[in-house]
Amino acid sequence: MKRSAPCVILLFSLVPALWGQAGSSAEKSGTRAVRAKETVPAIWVNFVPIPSGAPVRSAKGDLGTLDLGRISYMGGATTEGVTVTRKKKSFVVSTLFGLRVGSESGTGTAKLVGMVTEVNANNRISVDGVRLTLVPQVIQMVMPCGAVTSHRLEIELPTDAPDIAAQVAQSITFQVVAN
Amino acid sequence: MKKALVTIFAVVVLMMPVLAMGQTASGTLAVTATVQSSISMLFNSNAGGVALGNAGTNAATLNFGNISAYGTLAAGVSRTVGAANFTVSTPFNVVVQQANGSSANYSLTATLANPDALNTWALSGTAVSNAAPSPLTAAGAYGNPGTAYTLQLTVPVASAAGAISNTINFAATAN
Repeated sequence: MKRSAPCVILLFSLVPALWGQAGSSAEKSGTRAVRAKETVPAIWVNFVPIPSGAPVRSAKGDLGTLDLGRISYMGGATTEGVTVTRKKKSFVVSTLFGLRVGSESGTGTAKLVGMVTEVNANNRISVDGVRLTLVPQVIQMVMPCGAVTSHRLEIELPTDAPDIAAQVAQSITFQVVAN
Repeated sequence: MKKALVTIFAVVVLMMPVLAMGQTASGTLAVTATVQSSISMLFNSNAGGVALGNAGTNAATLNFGNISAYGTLAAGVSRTVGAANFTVSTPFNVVVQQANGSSANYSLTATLANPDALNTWALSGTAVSNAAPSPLTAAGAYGNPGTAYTLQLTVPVASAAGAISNTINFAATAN
């Protein structure tokens, strides 16, 4: 029994590598397992400006800032790439921004999840039509790694909120999960 | 006991590659914007007056139709006839709305765009000329249905027949 224990452990170690490798020999699968480990990429996400959107600045790789400028219900927006849509008792400020999901291999796909870091009763934030809350929400199931994807940010603000308290400052955390 | 240990270890080893498959990364986007207060003005028809053209906008038109000292007038137009002139009048609504503001009310003035040496223009009794803005209210209430103002046009009976037109510019200022 003492001798057989390491063998069992070794066998179990190889099992994940055998998943999806039906018909392959154990030896071949073992080789692939090593490759798979090497190519499972470290991934990252960063923010990039796109031509039709508001200017996004990337402070660090994974930190971006997006200034929508001055906005008003009647006057619209002053920043290029920012639009204001009037509703009866609210207005929606929207713009496009770019996200680039990177991976070491430059290939593969990832799932995009987003959440706000605090809830403000005065505004609703959506990305690609998905309203963000404190609970992570799936925005996109499949995003290609290596490419810049365009996303629409929308913030809905009520007209009855006074301007003195209407400095909008909100952080959105995006998480990408390799598929 | 050894068997149990092996099993536990095997399960842990089995799980490791699975966990590695779902690598994650995150990024934070700080969004800022400055909301400014704003007001808007629009003109609406009044139930007792003529129907405005482009009602519900800030560039409406008001047509009295054919007017005369003694002839038939359009619906919604009323008239007073004096010795030397006659006045036709009709009400309309001015709606001023506020968004993201904290002002309690607004001031409203009106100015005739073009001089009219022959006829006299007034809004609810306040003469309107092109010389200077005429104050209509110093504390107008925001929102619907707005405030009704009566446009009054006084025409001398001695003046020749013909079309009369002018533009009145309204200016609302949040207090």
